[in-house]
Formats: sequence, C-alpha cells, structure tokens
Amino acid sequence: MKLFFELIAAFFATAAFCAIFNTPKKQWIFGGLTGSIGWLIYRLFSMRWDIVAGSFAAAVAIMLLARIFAVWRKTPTTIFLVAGIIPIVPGVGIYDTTYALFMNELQEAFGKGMETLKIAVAISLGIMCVLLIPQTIFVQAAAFLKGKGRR
Amino acid sequence: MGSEDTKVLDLVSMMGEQLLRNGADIARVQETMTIVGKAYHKENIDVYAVSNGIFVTMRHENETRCTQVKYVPIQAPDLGRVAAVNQLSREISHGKWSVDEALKCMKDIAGMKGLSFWGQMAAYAIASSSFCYLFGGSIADSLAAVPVGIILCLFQYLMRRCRISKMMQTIFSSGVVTLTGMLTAAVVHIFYPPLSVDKMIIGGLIILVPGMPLTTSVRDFFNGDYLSGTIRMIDALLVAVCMAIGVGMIYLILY
Repeated sequence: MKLFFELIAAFFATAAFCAIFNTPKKQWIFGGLTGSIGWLIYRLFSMRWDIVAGSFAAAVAIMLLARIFAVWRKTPTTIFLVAGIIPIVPGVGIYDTTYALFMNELQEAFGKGMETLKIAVAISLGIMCVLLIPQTIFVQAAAFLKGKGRR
Repeated sequence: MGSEDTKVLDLVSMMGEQLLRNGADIARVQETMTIVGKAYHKENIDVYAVSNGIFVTMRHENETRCTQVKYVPIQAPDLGRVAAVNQLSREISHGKWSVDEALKCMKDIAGMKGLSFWGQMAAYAIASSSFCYLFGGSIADSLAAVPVGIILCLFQYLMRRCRISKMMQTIFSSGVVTLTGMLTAAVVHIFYPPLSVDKMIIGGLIILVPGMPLTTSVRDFFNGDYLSGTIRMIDALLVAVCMAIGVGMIYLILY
C-alpha cells in the first residue's frame, strides 16, 4: 500500500519536474509515467538486491521507456529521460555525505560518498545499455504496431 | 543566390544554438544541423559542436566557403524549445517550409515564453512535497515541505534577476532550502510532534540536483563526444559540490 502511494508521489514529482523544465504540456503525463514506472522498478530491485542494482535496473527501464515514448510521441528522448531519472539520481546520497562530512564523521562520509558514486556509475551504465539498441528497432516496432492497429 | 546561402547558414546555426543551449546532446545537434542543411540542397555542410560552442562551414557552388562560429554559454535548460526545434526540423525535411518561413519560426521559438511564475511556483511546491514523501517522509513532512519549495522558487527568481553566477546560485539556493526546512520544522514543532527535518530538506534539494547534465554527459560519452561529455560531467560535479557547500554552511553556522 505504501508502495502504491509512492508511485503516485513519483508520478506527481516527475510531472512537476517536466513543468520546471518547460516541457510541452501534452508530454507531462508521459514524463510522469516514466518516473513512476522507474520508481517501481527501483523499489522492487532494491528490496531484492541493493540500491546500486536498483538504480541500474531503474535507469535501464527509464531509458527504454523514454526511447519508446520518444518514437511514439515524436519528441526528443531527453524530455522523458531527464524528468524520469531525477527520482533515482542520488540526491539523498549527496546530502547524507555532506551532513556526515560537516558533522566530522569521516568514516561514514567516505562510505556514503562511495555509495553515491557507485549509484551514479550504475545509472550511467544503465543508460548506456539501452543506447546500445539501434534506433531502427524502435522505429520499425512503432511502424509495425501502427500498421497492426489500422487493420 | 548569395543571400539564400547566408540565410540557410543563419537558420542552421540558430537551430543548433537553441538545441545546444537547452540541453540536447551533441549528436542530435550535429545531426539536426546537417539534415536541415541537406533539406535546402546544401550538401557540403560541416558541423562541429562542443558543449558551449558551434562551428559550421558551408561550401557554395561557386567554390567559396563561409563559416559561422557561435558561443553558447551553459545555462538553465528549456526542453520546450528542444521539442519545438525538433518538430521544425522534421517539417523542414518534409519540405514544408521555405528558408524565410523557417527563419521566422525560429525567431518565434527563440522568443518562446515558458511557464508563468505562478505555474512555476506550483511545480516547485508539488515537486518538493512529493519528493519528500518519496524519500520516506510522512504525509505531515511532505505538507511541511511545500513552503520550502515555494521559498526556493521565489529565491531563485530573485537571484536570476540579480544575475548572480550559476555556482553562487546553487550554493545560496541549497543554503536557503536547508534554512527554510529547519525554520518550518521549528515553527510546526510549536503545536505538532516533531517532523523529520532531513526528509524535508532533501525534498527541496532534489530540485537542485544535476540530473540533466549527468544524463546528457553520459550520452555524449557514449556517442564518442568525450570533450562535451567531460564539460557536462564537470558541470554536474560542480553543482553537486556547490550543493554540499551550501548545506554544510548552514549546518556549520547553526551547530
């Protein structure tokens, strides 16, 4: 139940971010969906493995969705990717690291800092994995689905 | 004939500038510029773009060459313009616009207004409260995070008015988020059990997190544009460090 509320919060958070970045209004819902599904994957994988694995899986899911939406809605991938990725970008990690650093708990600051770095690298790798898929596959799939819908 | 060539060059470099300035990745900038040039039958067009500059060279039929260099400083992105330029280039390659018409469209895009001030403020408020909930705050915490977002929005607007440099903006903004978070929690504490201050502060801070330069930088690296990727990565890193300084400053003063 808590997860369900979190998904709604993720939807609104990402949609609000679309607004802050001045994305066209008709893409807000899709931006929100990207963030929401990304958060679901993040939570499920973090429960089973750890946060780094969760971030990687979520980055893969978000980038895939962003590319699918980009072909479908005929807009650049950036629009969905940027808003969708924000919930899993390690903002909490940056905050915790600084807090520990200024409270002079160096051991903890180092640990948190390394974790933040690991998450950032995991997100980058996740995005790269999906970039490996050539654009033609998405375009072909879209054309195939469109043809099927018309019939 | 000559003026037609100049117009195409103008158009192409304007489109590139808008894309680059508002956070598109380098590969897209170069691809769009080449495609638009080809759509107007200028086959010999060479583009080189970095994160903060564009170089275009065009060779004409009479063997003269002309070049345009544009400096594009890094600033706050506006994805609406990226989408609009993308749409325009799609229409151009379908042959829908003449050069003059396309130039006029580009001027409209450059003057495009974003969300109104109040809309922006609502977005900040929604973002900060829902992120507060997302990162483990209770419902009361996320309601208390609303003023944090609103004050951050007001403060950023003021700073943009005063033309303070980007790094200082980030430092001050994160300081303000920390301060308002603590103040709100202290005020609410008078008549309500204590809130978790750190969750509220994180909700506000997330708005400042450099998600955009990070993702763009990764894609630039992937496409082999290492220089641009590095520039944007450093941008993301600097923003993160500035956030840390801003938050830390307030903690140092208050404890």
